[in-house]
Amino acid sequence: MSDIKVESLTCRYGRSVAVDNIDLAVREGEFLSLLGPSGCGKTTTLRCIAGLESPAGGRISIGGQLVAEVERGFVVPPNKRALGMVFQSYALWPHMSVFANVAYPLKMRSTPRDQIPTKVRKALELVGMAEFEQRGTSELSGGQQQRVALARALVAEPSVLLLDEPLSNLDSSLRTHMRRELRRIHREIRTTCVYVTHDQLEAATLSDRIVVMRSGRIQQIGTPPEIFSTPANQWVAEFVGYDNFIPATVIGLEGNLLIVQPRNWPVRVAAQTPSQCPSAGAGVTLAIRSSALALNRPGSEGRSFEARVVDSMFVGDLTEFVLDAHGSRLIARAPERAPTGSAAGGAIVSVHLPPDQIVVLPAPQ
Amino acid sequence: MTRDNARALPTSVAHRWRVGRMGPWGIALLLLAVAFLFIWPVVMQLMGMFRMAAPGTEGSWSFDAVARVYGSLSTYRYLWNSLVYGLTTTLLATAMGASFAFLAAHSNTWGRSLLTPVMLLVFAAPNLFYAISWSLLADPGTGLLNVAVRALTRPDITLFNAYTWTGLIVVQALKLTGFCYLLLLGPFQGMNRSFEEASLISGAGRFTTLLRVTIPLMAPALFGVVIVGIVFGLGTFDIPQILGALANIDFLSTEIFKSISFEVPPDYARASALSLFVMLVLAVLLVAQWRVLKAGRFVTVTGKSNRQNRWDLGGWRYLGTAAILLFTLFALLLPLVQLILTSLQPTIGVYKFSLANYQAVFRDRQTVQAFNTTGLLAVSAGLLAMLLAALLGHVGRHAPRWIERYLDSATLVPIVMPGVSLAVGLLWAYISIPGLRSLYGTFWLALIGVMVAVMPMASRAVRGALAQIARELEEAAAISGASPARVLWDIVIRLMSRSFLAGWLVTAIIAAGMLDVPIMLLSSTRPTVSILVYTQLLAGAPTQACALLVLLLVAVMLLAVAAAALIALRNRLARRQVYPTIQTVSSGV
Repeated sequence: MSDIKVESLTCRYGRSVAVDNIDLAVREGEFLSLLGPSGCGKTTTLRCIAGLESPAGGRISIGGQLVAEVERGFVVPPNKRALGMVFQSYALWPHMSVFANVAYPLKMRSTPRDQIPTKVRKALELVGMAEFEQRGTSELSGGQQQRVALARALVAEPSVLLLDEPLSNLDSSLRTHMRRELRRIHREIRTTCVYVTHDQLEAATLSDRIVVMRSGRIQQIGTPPEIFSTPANQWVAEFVGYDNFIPATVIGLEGNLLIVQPRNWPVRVAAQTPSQCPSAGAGVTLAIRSSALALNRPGSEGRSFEARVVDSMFVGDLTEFVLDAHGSRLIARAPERAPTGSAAGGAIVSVHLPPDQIVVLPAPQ
Repeated sequence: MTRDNARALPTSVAHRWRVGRMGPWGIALLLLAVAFLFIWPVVMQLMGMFRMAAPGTEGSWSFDAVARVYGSLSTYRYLWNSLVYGLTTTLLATAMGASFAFLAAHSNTWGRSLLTPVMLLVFAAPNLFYAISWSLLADPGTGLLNVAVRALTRPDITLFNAYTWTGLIVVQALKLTGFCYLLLLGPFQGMNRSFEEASLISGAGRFTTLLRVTIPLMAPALFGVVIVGIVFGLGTFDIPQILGALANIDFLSTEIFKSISFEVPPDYARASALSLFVMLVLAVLLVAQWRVLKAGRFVTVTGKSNRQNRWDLGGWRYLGTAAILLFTLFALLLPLVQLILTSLQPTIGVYKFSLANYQAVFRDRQTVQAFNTTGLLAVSAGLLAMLLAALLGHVGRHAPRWIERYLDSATLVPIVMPGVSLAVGLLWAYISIPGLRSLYGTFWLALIGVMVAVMPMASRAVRGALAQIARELEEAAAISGASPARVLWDIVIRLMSRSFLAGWLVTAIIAAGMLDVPIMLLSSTRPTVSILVYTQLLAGAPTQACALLVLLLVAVMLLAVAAAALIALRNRLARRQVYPTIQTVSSGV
């Protein structure tokens, strides 16, 4: 049993509320990410689970065992919670060797002395650092330190592994590599993991489920495909990369597609029907990724509309077009090379928009 | 943060662009001046060992003094005493300083906000103050502490005696604790809390974490403080001279003083030979420290520590509060009360109070003159030291590495010279040069001496402040057309003005309470207040000495208040829009 249950957790720093009455359940063996911008309360939530922060209210239980219940004044200190944790700064003790760092949790949990070397080696092998056992921690590169920190967190076979933005101090190629490694390791050991990140890509590639947080509150909980293809609101959509938002009015259903009319547009468009279908006449917001807008020549068939090219920018492997579609400003990214005459500034183009790429969101209040 | 560092690296390492360029002649002149001020006294000191005559007179060379000093058993006794004294006081003071720094930085102990002000006062109070007030407090006959204990228990008991090894060590340790605390507070506050948190997560309790993570991580800082503490303990003069003389314990520093001030004719060669001893020991210690720090593994102690969660010490909290209050009582309040009481008494132990001592002090013409001399000496020595340190720091930053290293280490040389040996070295150095011989016994030689003595402190203060100023800020001024001198004045000095003023204040306060250097370099007709206090004490007028010392403390306090007002004024004058921008820029480095 190593599930985590967080009930109406609240945490304050002075007068500011970092975590505002959230409920959260992490299933056994699950890899759960807390995703959000800095200051959204994701790290504070993690630290409350770890016992490093004292919450102002709520209950936390790990593996069916209550570890904190503020109302009763009951708190299990972090050293009695049998967790593993990887810190953002790694927090490898510079006065100890790699071996000593990894062996420390074993010693503290009074593992028999003769088992320590084997367990340390096993943990270091898991992260691919077996040959660095006797090194000092300051002789390691960032990625290696990261691996050792992970080995230290895993060595005592904790029921729950907590990771606080572990990849944010690495450069981008190393980050990609370590992401794959983390995924492999989790597949191998199947420990319940809670992972804090502000990087949507990390959350998407690693997680079974993602919790999107903002200002101490949960915005959406779902699997990565759910979060990315059906964000719950405009804020989540923006955070996971949607960059075109068009206010629109619902007209009605047509088969299993929802017909909407963007404000001030003479044409209607068909969109994916959201799980909670809005009634006809309701105001909604359409969210579209710039990569979903395909530029065609005028007159091409299918679900398309006309737009005027305002500006085009060459951005490396893609070209970014700023479009004016019936008064709405849209951004489209297309794999076209430098704009040809037909797509230059002022030209009228036809924009193809598949219905399954349009997300219908409730209109912002 | 990391990204900023990465961006700053190429400009500072690969491309040392030189704003402060002075031309080869300017640099050469500066290097020579630094050599003369800081290195020449050491060289002359060494040569002085082999001279048979006083500085500036004709004399032959011989190994006589060297053989006499190093062949004498008592020399090794002084060395042993000094070492024991330096070591015990330092260990005691470091233990206390570290505990208090821990309480202040990491605990929720009540009264922790009291610690830094108290420690600052303890650090700023002259050694002379501790020597005199504790000699009165713990006098076996009339000491306030003994009187109090007798009143509570039996009349024939003598619990406290300042004139013993224990007395000397405790008094010096109390004084040194302020220094150790101030050095350790930064490392304790700057320590990345996740080191401790990682240990808690690993299953270690608070106490185990303290023992296995916190203290080992602090080890280099603690070691550094121990070394500097021993250096101070070996060189310190005031407390050994005043308490040690009555306890009949001799130290290297007091022996150096004696060979010049009490011998007729002064035995300069012996003073030099003894000085060499101290300097050797200190040099060995500093090299040891350098090696340990260089051995690495210790660099990553700092980190971002924006989380201010403190340890709840539970019941131990009250013990912490008690320790803070006790320390304040013994290190500050009791000495101060004793000093003021004595200054109001006709003779020690007679509890009738009047202002007679103050009247006598003010009737003495020398008093006003001494205050003038002290003020002028302290304020101008502090200012000169800070200006020179700023100039050297600035030039060093833009010069080739070896020049930077030379300037940096030359200004640190006075650390290995106890005040008394520094004075001997300066005498040798200046008298050996014909044109400068006339400085002997004048205010100016004392000014140079005090400046050299406070230089290590000044250059540390400047170095820290300079490191805060992004190089781009200077480069931008130079690109805008400012000359190197204008860059120094318009940008560097302005940006570090707060640290500059603070450094000036600290060096001036230290200089005002200094006894060893002025007493050996000033002529007896123009004493400073500290010298006057000491001579009154020797002349058997301790109550008047106390009155003078009280006045000195009041004057220093006024100076500090004036400086604080000046800093506050400067902050108000600095335009609000500009200042935060500067801070963000400099904190990004």
